Amino acid sequence: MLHLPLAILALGSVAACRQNAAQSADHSAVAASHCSAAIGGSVSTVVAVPLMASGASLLVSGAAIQSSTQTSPPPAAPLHTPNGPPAL
Amino acid sequence: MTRFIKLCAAIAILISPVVATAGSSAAGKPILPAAEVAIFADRVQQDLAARGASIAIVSCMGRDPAQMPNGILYTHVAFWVYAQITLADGSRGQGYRVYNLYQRTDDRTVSDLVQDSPAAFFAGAQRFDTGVIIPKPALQRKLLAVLNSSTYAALHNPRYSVLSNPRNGMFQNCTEHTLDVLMAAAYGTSDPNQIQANIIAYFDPQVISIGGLKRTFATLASEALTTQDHGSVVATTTFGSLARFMQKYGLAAEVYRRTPSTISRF
Repeated sequence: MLHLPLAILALGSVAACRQNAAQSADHSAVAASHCSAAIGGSVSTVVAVPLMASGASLLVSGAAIQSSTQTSPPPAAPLHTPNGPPAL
Repeated sequence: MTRFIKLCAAIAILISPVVATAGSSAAGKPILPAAEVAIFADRVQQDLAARGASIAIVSCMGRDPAQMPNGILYTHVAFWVYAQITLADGSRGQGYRVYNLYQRTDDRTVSDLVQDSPAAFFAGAQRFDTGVIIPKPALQRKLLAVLNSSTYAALHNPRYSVLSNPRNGMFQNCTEHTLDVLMAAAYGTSDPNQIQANIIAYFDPQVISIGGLKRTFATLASEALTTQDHGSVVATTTFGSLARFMQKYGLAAEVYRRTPSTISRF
């Protein structure tokens, strides 16, 4: 039952996107950021989860949020001995 | 003197597309229609979900491929992470979040880690064309652990260079940060020096054909085009070199190219 509303919302978002694009080419970057997910506007939380299901109807395209993080000076150099080749 | 400066500037402008291989800026002025970008982004999401990918390395063409050096198609890569997204109205759904390293628009020599959406990821693309690497499931779990840890940010070096050398830590770009995170996951380490040692031992970066004159003038076009972290050979991390590395060591489950109408294997 979850699938249909999300699919409808997704379709709605594309329609909104087309409208945005038509209204203003200058603002199309903004439209692109939001259009595939104009579902209620902003995102409040994003939590990575194991993939439980697949298929288009379950997908919600993300809205743009900008959480920037930056840090850390460049790593200093003394080289370590490499491990073996990467293996899983 | 003025004529000389003008000449240098002209040369710099002429060569800048040639050396601008791995630029990773957030979308500037869009080239492609926003509605079509959204549809393409969702197609890429659907492909990933259909393949059961919790995490993937996805690339885009931020520059005209005709301007790119031989062997390089994509200018930007990022991790796409399948996530539960709770919207402002409390509704929930699943989709992919994109973990980017972007150049700042007001200072091209500095980068930030930025999360955005699949549509935003492709907003500045020149073509509807993406290369995708789906890591093996065991590596996906390890990558997810790194992305959810402080290691992900700790491996970020904000000193940005388009042609950053992955064999040292002077600069970094989006592809190199992706490589560092990949190595952290594969080896279960957050030690940048150990990661560096393993990169030097096992990763073959993409060699960029660029002569001495071009190297000299590149920094006139942009400080982000510096090659001071390289020796006589310029080699940098690219989508292709990441794919080759992961295929060589059995880390990739799938590597493919997606356009609006086709999916083909690399």
